[in-house]
Amino acid sequence: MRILIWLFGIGVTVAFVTTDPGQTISWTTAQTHLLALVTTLAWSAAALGAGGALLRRMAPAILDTPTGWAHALISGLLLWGLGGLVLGALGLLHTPGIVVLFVLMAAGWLVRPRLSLPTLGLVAPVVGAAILGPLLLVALAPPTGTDALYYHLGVPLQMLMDGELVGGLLHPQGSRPMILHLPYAALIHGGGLTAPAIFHLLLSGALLALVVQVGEQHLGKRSAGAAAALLLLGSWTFMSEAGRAGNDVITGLAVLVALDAALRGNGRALALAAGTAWSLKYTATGPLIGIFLVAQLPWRGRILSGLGAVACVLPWWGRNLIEGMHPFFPFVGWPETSVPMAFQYMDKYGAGRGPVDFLLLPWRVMMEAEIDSFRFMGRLNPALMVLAPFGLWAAIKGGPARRIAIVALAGASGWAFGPHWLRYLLPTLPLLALAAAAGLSVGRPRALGAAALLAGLVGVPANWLEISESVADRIQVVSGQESPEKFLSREVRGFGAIAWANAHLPADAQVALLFSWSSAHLNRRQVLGSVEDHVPTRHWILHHPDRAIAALVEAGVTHAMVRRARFLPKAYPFLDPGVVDAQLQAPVRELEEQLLMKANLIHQDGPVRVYRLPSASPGP
Amino acid sequence: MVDTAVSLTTGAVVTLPAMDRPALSDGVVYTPAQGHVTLKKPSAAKPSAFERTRFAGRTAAPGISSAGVAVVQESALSLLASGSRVVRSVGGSGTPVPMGWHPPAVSDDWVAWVVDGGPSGADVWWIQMAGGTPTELDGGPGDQHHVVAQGQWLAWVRPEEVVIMDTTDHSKTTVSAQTGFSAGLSLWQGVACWETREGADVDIACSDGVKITGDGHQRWPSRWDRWLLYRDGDTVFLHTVDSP
Repeated sequence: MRILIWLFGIGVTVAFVTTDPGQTISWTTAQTHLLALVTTLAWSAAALGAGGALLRRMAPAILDTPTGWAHALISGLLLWGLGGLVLGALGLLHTPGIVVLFVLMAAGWLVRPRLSLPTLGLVAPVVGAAILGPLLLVALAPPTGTDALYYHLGVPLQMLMDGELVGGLLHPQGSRPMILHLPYAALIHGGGLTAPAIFHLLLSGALLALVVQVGEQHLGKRSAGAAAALLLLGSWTFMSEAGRAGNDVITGLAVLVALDAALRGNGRALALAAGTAWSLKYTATGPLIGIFLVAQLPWRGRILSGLGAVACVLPWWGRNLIEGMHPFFPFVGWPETSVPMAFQYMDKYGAGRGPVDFLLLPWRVMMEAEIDSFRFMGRLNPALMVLAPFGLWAAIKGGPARRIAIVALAGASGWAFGPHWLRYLLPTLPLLALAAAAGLSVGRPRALGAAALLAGLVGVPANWLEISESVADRIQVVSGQESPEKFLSREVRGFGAIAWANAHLPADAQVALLFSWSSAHLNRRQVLGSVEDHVPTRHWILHHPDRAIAALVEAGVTHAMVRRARFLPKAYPFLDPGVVDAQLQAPVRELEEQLLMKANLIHQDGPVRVYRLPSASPGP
Repeated sequence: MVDTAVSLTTGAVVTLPAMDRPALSDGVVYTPAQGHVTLKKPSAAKPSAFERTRFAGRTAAPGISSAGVAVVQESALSLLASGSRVVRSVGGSGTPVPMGWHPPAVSDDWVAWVVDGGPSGADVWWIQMAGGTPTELDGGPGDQHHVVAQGQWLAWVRPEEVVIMDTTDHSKTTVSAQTGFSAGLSLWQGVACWETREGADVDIACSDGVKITGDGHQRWPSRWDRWLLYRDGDTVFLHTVDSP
């Protein structure tokens, strides 16, 4: 009877959409969304099954805990990524290989792992869904974020086009651990470009659920967990990422799962979660150090667990070594160039790195951060600062609150050591939120809760306004009223050149993206997409003085898509003007000279030009 | 964007409404958004909502002559003959899609434009504004592109050559040239000028033998009568050709 009721409901829904005289939701668009949603749910279920099966064998006790589902999900992601690594290494990233991986992972359910849905009560899921739900519009819209385009979606697309792993100097981002990007490739293969963003949104919801559970399970108060979740939901830095394909939020989920395992004293589950977190992003290092410090395990157990975590990352390092790269490439190990290059200019982010700046860092992060400048490039909800002193008070009293605070402190310190970009704090942000919310268990919770609520609500406009505009801007394209091409034309400057290249470049063209990042929308094999300081492009030019174009041609590149790059000295006030010229501006001039003398300009749209390189066969 | 016109002969400066990638013909500047703006009386222009709507998808500057307007759109060439209220769309059914970017060239009643010739590269097709069927003007291996028009003349770049054509009798002259790698041609009264990179850097050459050479790159030639405008670095130069 239940199934019949569901089928009846679905039937009425489909009939309403298809017969709507105004075609408010285009059926073609709805089908695309449905495919992405179904693909994401199917792979997520497969990951849960695979992870559950692995844990049933390695750490069955963790499955009996209320957070067992999260451990299964993260272990499943680990298996998914490593399975993808095997496929990619064997050149099997095609339909048969991906289907076999899916079947193998889904087969995990055959061993019947004991998994139960998180019990969160009624209010928390409803509030969470109400706030997070609109971000589905961002997830379902054509991707526009620079990182998503050149890295989170661009690299998986390249792997799918090549049928194998990509990496090295021509695909530096592909040499990172691809534990999330191989799953993204599988999602794109089945559900299109929006499926990874939907998966990311799903896991963002999972993170919030786990935050509530950790508050309940380890701090002894569900309200503390709920408050921590609200701190995340009230922060632009979390919300702006949740609806997009990325890796910071999911790293935060894996870190929190590792904390849960550590507080439960489950070494094997800790190894799996910590290994996954570290493979997801090295910015997890800080909180992971804290987690191993507070783990409810004897030192021997911690060391063994740590070795287990390292073993999870080893395949990625081994892959780099086999390919002749440094294990930590692209963060280190770039071949020397005529001019020494920095991978990242730390001073560019935040508000300074002097002793006083570090002392003022917490205040500035909360009060002076901007979402549209390098001044932390993000925003946090001020309620975090209201709760923080009381969280510290709770930490002084000892217990799990102290352990969580130590991990949060380790994570925040690790973040402060690196670039002061708030997005990089996301692996630690749930811990910071929990550590602060622990303050609700001491003193006068009602008064503190009310004070935090006041600050939180006042902080909402600064954190949500840009996101609400972004959501509203996508209603037309998600409903099918606006074409994806038209949407991208107004959202991605120079998209006309991408559209032109998709229409006119030979199918077997290989395109070098120079100072350009729209990889995901270009339906051709490609190399060297980059953003911001454009390290890969600049390194290539400086590594091949006077013959950067010739070296690209030797690498099989037939065309180049070049975005006008301008490195203004005022954006690098911490660098000597001579260094700005040598490291940043000179490569641009050098490239322009070589393009002018060696290549043929075949199209231009706004700041983006398309060139045919010398040895390419005739044709557009 | 173009918002100023300067007369080389009188030095008169005419302020125009800001125009995105306009077409220029004798004394007239045109965009679908602003309509025909005459340099003698720019404020008298009457923009047409019809043209703005029908040419909204243009991918390059339009082409104009007294015979009408030609606009390259994504998948077709659109033609609006003078006095007509019907836009003719040329594309599909055997006519390749335009290459975008390259503006159409309008020489009197003839309209030439660059199409995607597939694996053999870009080709030049042409058609009469008032009617007729589109035909290939120049094709084959390599790119035939950068077609321009002035008066009765058409010119375009083909591999290793520049072709200059008189549309009144369809006679063609070819000049050996290494060009078409960046800027297009400049054409005036059957004399074409172009960028060339035969030397150590980019220079300018014209079909009447005029050359602009020097250290660095001399680029973006624009020929009108005895005057040749070009750019060297960040400076625009005006070269006066000696009278024959």
